[in-house]
Amino acid sequence: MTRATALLALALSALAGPASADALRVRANEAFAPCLRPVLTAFTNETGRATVLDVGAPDPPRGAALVVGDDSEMTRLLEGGRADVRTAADLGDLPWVTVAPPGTQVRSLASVTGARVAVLGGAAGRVARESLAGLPPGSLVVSRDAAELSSATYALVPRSLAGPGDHVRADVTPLVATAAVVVGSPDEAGARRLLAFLQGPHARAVLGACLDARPTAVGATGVAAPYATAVADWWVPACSLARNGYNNPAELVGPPDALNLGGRDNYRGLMSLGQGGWVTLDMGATVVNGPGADIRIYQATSNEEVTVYASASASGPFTLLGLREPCGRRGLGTFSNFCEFDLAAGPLAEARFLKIEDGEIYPCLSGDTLTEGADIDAVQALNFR
Amino acid sequence: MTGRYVLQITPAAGCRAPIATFSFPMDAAAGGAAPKPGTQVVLTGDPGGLEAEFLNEAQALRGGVGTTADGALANESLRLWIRVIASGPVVRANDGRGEVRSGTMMGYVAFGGAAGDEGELGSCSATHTFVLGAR
Repeated sequence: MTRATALLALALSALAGPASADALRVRANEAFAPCLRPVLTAFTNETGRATVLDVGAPDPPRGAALVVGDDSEMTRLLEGGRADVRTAADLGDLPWVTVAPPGTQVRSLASVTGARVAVLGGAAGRVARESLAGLPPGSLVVSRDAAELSSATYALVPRSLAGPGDHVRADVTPLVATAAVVVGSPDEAGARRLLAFLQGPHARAVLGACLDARPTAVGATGVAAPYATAVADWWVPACSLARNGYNNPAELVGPPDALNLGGRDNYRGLMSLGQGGWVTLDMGATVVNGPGADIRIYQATSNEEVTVYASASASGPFTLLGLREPCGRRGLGTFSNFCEFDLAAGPLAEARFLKIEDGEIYPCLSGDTLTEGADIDAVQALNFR
Repeated sequence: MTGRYVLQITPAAGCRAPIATFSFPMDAAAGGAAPKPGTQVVLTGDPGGLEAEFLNEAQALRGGVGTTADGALANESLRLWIRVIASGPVVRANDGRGEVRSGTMMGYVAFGGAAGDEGELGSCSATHTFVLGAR
């Protein structure tokens, strides 16, 4: 760098300094950043407020006032109260695509031989990486570098990071762009303003070029479906009982009623299962294998995983219906998210008792909230007699 | 089950793990009595880095085994990430303590280099096996 160039750079940085300090800081993961850039520009054009977009995992927020990440990255932020769960908003879905050289007609990257496959790193890429389990050892390139991912010959990436080549939509659960205000940020008011803008029609139109609208949830059947009527048995490790704040299994009985009452770790109406804890519930009716899903679990925090078993008897034997299934669908109008299970997965024709087990399995001794483990609000039978 | 143990985790063959078995030094202690008796087994020197919380059933253990987002460094100098439900019968070891010689684990495992990323050497959800042996 010449002396003149250095002086120019110094002058520019001095000019930029105050503006940067005043800018609203947003942090988004590598996949959502390309989607957000144009909408942040639109926000600045409309409001006059400058923004700075930091790219990387949203947890920790690293000084950002607003964070945007996939459900899997937001869980501990929202659960721990560092981001305000009451502000959490879905901006849309981002599907995964496979990338391959033009004309190669690759049906599955898991069958690619002699070439390396790039895939997104971090929590947001966990399910995608797992889908490539059939690849030979050493074939994966795990990266969070957008340039590296978009220049890969073969890749499994969120659509926003796909480079040249043939793109085919992959059978991997789309990322869910979740935005939330960081608690205690000096620019919390600005973050709330931006969040409101992101949910408005102008921003939705801009985001729509990158994110898919979230599918509308199917509501309960026309007949009032029964909720769990009694707790038959339960266990939560002593470590989790000592550290968690919501240990009452009776909270799972009855319809969904969980709420965040404001502030960190301030809830009602839920039970946190801790590390691998479980509750066995009497559904008060016979759940039957009918059309579609038969059981709905209401879970309060992000998409924390749950495992579900079913039995005719409170003492078992229990049949596994789903192992560590993410439980984070939205759209029923409840505070809690939900996930659904089918007796056919057992397969079972009917069941009376359901065992709901934590699937997050986060080490108790590393937990730093009062709500470690899946946070269960209610359990509902969708097909029953 | 109390005292020092070695946890040996053998991922399912379909996971194509870079090595057959990952082993970790662990410490076991009683994990409370209510609502049911349990056993806590943690990584020696980093108890929250790899932790098992077991329910004591009739001559068996069952519970969740997990790591944080950092995974846990195995004796074999590779890193393992794990989120599984483990179970297995408890039998008597040579020194009179209990141990598990033929356990199963259902769930997610991922492999990486000692300083590598989660899953860079593969990952999968399947049924794996484990041994929790007295040492």
